[in-house]
Amino acid sequence: MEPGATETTWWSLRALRFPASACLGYLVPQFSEWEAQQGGLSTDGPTSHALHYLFEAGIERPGAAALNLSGSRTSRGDAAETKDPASPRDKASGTVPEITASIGSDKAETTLWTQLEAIREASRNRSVGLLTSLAPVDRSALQRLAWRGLPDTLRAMAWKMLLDYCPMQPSRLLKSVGRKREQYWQAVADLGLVSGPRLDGRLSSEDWVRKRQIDLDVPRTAPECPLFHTSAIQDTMTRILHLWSVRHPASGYVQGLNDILVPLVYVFYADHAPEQFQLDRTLVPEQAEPLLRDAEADAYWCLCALLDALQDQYVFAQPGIQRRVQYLERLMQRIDAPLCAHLAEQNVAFMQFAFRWMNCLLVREFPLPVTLRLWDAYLSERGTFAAFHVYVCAALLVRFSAELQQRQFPELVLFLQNLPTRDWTEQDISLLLSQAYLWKAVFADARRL
Amino acid sequence: MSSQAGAAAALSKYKLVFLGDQAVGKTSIITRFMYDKFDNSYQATIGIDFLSKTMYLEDRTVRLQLWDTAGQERFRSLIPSYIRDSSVAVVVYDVTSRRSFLNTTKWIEEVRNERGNEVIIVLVGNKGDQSDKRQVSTEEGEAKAKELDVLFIETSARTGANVKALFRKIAAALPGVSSATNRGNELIDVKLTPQEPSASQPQQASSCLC
Repeated sequence: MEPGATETTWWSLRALRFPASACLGYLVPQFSEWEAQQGGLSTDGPTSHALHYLFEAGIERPGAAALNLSGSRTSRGDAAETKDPASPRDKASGTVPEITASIGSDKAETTLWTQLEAIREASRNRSVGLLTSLAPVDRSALQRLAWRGLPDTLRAMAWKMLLDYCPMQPSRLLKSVGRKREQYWQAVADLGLVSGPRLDGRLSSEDWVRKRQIDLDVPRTAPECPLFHTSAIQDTMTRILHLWSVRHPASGYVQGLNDILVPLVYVFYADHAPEQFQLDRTLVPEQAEPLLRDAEADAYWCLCALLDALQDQYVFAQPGIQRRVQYLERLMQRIDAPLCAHLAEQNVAFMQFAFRWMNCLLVREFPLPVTLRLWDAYLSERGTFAAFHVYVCAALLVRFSAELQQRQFPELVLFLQNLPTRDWTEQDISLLLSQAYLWKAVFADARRL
Repeated sequence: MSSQAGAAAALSKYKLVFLGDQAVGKTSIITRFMYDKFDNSYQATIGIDFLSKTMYLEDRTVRLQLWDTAGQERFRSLIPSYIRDSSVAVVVYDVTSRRSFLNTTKWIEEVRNERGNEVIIVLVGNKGDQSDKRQVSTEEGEAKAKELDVLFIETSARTGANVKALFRKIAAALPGVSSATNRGNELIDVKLTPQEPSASQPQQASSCLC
């Protein structure tokens, strides 16, 4: 497989200067034609949204896909320039019907948002009748939209559905979620963690060791967000992490799981009481706390679902991380050999910087709002996101390739450990995701990760 | 620092690896040494972090590469290669946690197994300012260091006490250091008696210029 082809596509996408999600829309018509020639594609499994059509095609016929990708880029790019050189923005905003159709119609999107909004309201009001009357959510449509970034108000509901915590069938929602929430609080009570996680006399010595580790880490989670230093949030995190580690004895609590819990807790709490959950708040009012019981249980179950695919990262010797870092290195050899040569010459091992990227899913590398956008895409990739994450890490390295190649040890390692991503925006992440997607399509062996 | 091109040419480089249990203050000691600041809530180190600092001694300049390791047991598979590469191992415990003190035996053993005697080991009792919670006395620390034939110092990353003294001690013990610099050994370690954060001030003024 030639990395060159994708590279060309990437740079041409960037040259179009508008959001990558819209850029990718350009490519879809060509793929639909190609797909039709190939006799169509099956919509198997969770990877069936439009972008997946685009790239899954490449996985089945790698050579053809690469050619097609770059070929389609050229013709589309030319067409855009000759026909309508001044208005790529108009195209992105949907005034050209062909483009609108290709990126999934706005109407379908609006319909889904309205539907999710209705489900959210009805479940909040516990209105069984209303929920029963609502149509089930189309999973692939939801994945497609999540890939492109979710609005803050619907993120919690969408994440819970993508993680299979909330059923797609609204009529089943209250019962199913209600049972889960009960189970969570029952389990917490059984562990003796209910009346304040710091006070209990029922723990075994093994539990104490685990609990001590969690107690040490929770207060130093997300240091830049005062909200996470309130006792309400810290107690929540302690209970969730403790229960998770008791129930997953093969790994137990591993440092960094506290980081991974942050986006979940934040999204679900903010959904219940948005006005109380600004990141810079230093106090959670007592009257808000009862509201948060449900959010806490939701965060626990969603953490379980998320980590299901990643358990091998946290068991003894962390084989999942070892394997993914090695895969990242092999991938980079093919994508950016000069950067790899430079790192090797400077004696910088991938494990030195990429370990944390895997262990904490990049949560520490970006501001929280940007992480949420990244996770929208990850959760739309449910099932394969651990592999996709490696491509995102690769895209991150390539993004800074020039800066990295200018630096020598030790500045090089320091740069890698503190990437200048603190002021990144959702647009930066969108570009990164598009790049990662292209590579995932080209390097088919991702499936083996 | 890098403007001193002449010194840089002759710069000796040394690798230091920081070992010890979770939350004993490895990152805090390094941050105090690097930037002379302290924060109550450093995120747990995941994997290995790296920092580099040039130290200007009386008769020469050394570049220290500091490898800060994660304290949790689960991350230990990463650490041996850093121990193999390092000329100094700084084994840290928390004087308010007996468990962390007992575990230093394992750490020191591991370093000896990898490096034999070709390594400088310093046993560091951190959080010396928290006298009300102390579980390990200075004497116990000293005795253990003597028994295991390693250097010893108590520090407080919070107040800064003895942090520079720790690095002076290390610098003085580095191979190839002249006897003039070895006077560093005579540096008086401030006894970390309670409520005297200012005790470290003279040390800070007199040690390295960076």
